[in-house]
Amino acid sequence: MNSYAVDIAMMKVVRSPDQLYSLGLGSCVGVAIFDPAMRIGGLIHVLLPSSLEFEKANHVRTKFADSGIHDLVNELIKSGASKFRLKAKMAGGAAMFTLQNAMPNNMIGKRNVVSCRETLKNLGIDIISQDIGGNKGRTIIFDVETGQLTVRMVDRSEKII
Amino acid sequence: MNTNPDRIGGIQKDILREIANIGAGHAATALSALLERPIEQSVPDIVFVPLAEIPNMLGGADKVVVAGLLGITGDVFGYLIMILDFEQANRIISMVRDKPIQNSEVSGFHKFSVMDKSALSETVNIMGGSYLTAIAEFTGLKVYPSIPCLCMDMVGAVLNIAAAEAGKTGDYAMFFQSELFNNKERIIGNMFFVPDEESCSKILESLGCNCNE
Repeated sequence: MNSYAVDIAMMKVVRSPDQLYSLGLGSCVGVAIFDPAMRIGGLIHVLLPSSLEFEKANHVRTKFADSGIHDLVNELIKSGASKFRLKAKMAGGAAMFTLQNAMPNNMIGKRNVVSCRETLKNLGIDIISQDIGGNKGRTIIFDVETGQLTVRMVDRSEKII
Repeated sequence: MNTNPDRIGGIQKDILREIANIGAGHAATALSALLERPIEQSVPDIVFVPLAEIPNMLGGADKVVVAGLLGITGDVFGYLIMILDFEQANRIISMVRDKPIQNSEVSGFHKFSVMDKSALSETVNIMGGSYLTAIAEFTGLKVYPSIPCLCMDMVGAVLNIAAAEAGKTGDYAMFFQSELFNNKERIIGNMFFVPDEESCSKILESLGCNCNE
């Protein structure tokens, strides 16, 4: 079994029994999408909500919720997953600092979550569980075999969603 | 201007390093006055970090740290972030509050009293304020700090805010990095000034440097 890190603005697709993990999600959102029957799953580490806001620049597509989740789903289908069986889980989207309203990035976690949700809805993929918001960082581990997403907090408390 | 490293020229980098030098110098002076002991600063650096590497730049994304942050508004938009490990945070608390150093441990977060956290916040406030005032005076730009925010969490999660800002304009983040020492001991290990791209251009332009050259 191999375990792969999925860093900011990256995505990866693996088959059982491999695992995927992202360390220290703050306002970032980790979206795990998998086909339970084929035991194929992918994880994306979303940094920003929408690629449409930054059309001019030449960006990595996996940095954004909208373009990144589309790419991840395509990659899963290419690897043999069925689009109709895909399920999603997500975690992250915290607001780490209590800043004044003048700082727009304070809302970035919330906006990431909203954009992930919308993108998944447009693709017809159900979110079967989630652990989002709050003001604490999260480390997530995605087990493709079972579809379990383990969420670990800074105080080492753990939950499986 | 683009914050990808190959798009920033030598002269621009030198000017930005000087900005970091002036800011950190003033922060060191303020800290020295607060703690009543000499504080030296390292030669500051301008570092370019690919987005994916940001969480790993300070010893692993899930390392637990104490972070102080000031939001910056006005002509310049961005953040000033100080990242301390628990030992450094405890040392500052002991110096500011004039009491013995507590045992530090990873889960020590909850042992910081309200006064301890307040002492840390105030240190961040005073140093950050000095850093930013120095930049404002040097450039003639308006630089307004927010109230200080304190957070104890995984370093990757803490630095997300800087990654999100940098990610809007490129695939690299530019950090103005400084370290402060007292008797060779690191007091503030990592102090980062993270302006957004537009602000960086404004800073350079205010000093007569054309960014498009």
